[in-house]
Amino acid sequence: MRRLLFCLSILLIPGCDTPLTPTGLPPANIVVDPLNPTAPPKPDVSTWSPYLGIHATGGAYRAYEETARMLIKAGKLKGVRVGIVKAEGFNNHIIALLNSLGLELLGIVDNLYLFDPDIERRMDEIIAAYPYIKVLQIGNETTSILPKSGPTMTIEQYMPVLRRIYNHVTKNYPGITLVTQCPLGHGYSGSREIERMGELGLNEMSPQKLIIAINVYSPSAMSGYTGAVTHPVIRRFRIWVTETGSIYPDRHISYVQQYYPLFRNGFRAERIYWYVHWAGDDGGDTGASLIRLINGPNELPGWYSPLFKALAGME
Amino acid sequence: MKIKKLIASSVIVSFLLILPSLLYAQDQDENAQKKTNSVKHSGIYIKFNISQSQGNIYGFDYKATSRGISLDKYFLKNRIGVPGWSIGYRKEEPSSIETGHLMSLSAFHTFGGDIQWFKVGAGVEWGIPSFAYYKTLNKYDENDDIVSSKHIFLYRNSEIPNKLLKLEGSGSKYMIIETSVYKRWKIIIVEAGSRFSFMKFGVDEYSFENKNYTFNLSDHRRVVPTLFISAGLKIHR
Repeated sequence: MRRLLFCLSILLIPGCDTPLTPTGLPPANIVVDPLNPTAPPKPDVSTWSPYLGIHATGGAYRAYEETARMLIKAGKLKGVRVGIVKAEGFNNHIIALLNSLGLELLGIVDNLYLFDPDIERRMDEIIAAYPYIKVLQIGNETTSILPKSGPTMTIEQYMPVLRRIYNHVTKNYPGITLVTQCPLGHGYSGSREIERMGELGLNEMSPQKLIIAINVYSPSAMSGYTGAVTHPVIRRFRIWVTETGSIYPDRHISYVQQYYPLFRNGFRAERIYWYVHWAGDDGGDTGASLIRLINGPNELPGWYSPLFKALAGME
Repeated sequence: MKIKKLIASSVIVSFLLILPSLLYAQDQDENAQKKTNSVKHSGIYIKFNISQSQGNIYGFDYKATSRGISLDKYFLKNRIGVPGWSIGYRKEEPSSIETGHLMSLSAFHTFGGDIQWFKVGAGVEWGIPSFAYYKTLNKYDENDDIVSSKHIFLYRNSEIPNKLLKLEGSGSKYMIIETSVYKRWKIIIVEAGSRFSFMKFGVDEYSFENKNYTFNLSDHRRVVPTLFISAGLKIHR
């Protein structure tokens, strides 16, 4: 008996933690169709949130139109997040295309607009150019994404700009909802930034008119945000995850299965935007893409990620 | 309010820091009884344990499994009713590296015979909790638009260690009470019992009826029981 207990206690040592796979994800779950049990099992994407980030790149017009229709038809796409880029002016026909497909648009007001001394006028111009965009996100990772050569913006500098935009838009455009900038999705800096926003005047804005945005790409960010959203001020606001995703295409489905429920449970994410539909066919974010235009621009995608296939019901 | 919390946290941390040295000091003059049964069983034990907490909180089912390690110090004889103290580390939800790291410090009292005892302990647990106590239920209408949401969460109420580490809002602390039975054979110890954690929860309800956003936020304290078993060895007299 003594030896048994001794062995038992030793056996418990190596089990104190389970090693993670390189990406921390188990194999994807698959499900069998109960109405057709002989059919090949399909990946379970029931945890998917029907929202997607789209780079409004003109060369992908045909691919976007085709693939967006496929996802809409499958009931897997309701809204998209697109950038309103200052350098482009106001004639982005991809944004017009996505609106014509009946998708709800979340428009990102370019970070560079936030340095404009007459930001109220710029907001008037944006809203006039895209009257169908009813939800506007005021910047994207404003404290971390801007080049160090400038101009740059701290969260203390951001909040007065947000306040000006909030005052102007809520007074003049009651049908428009604003979304805060989303802090960096890695590490704990994003959660500290969210809490700092709570201390810098967020409590004087209405949760009916403003939504808190979060980008999340790492477990530490996830842990930090889980605490940050319980901040007494932040707790009153709705939470959207405006960017998340994996750069490993073969892990996309596992990512949705494992992390989307954690985002909902951990920080009550009301909706989750996958980053991204297409990030170009080279560069660091390519792996996150759901499609690739390997046949050239203005052609249909030559490659679809396993997640896209599962969402669209492709064989 | 923050000052009160700070003072309370300071008192708790000071107590926890001083407690081992106080108890150690009481142990210094206890060398005279080395032929008693107490001598046989006093000392430091290392224990490995597994535990599980399962139930329903405010309408949400939860389940948390843990594995942990602890050091228990049994004195030669009781002083101020404290025959020993324990320091432990527990990994909740072993699949997550970033969360579920919890440390505890407690003092305990024992009752019963020579080698089979009933034990009651009290102390504090602190750490970064797992996602086991964070739950959300979203309800959607036929158009897949959200109509209501209910969210529960374990309070991240630990400030002093987090401020030092600049991890604001990431830690939780709460009182624990443990009751258990244990048995020792020479250098072996086995133990089984329950831990009761006095946790503070937020219970938040959000409504989106007719696109009108309203919310109701509330806080509650709840005793969360956990069953555990452990086995270990005496590593020091």
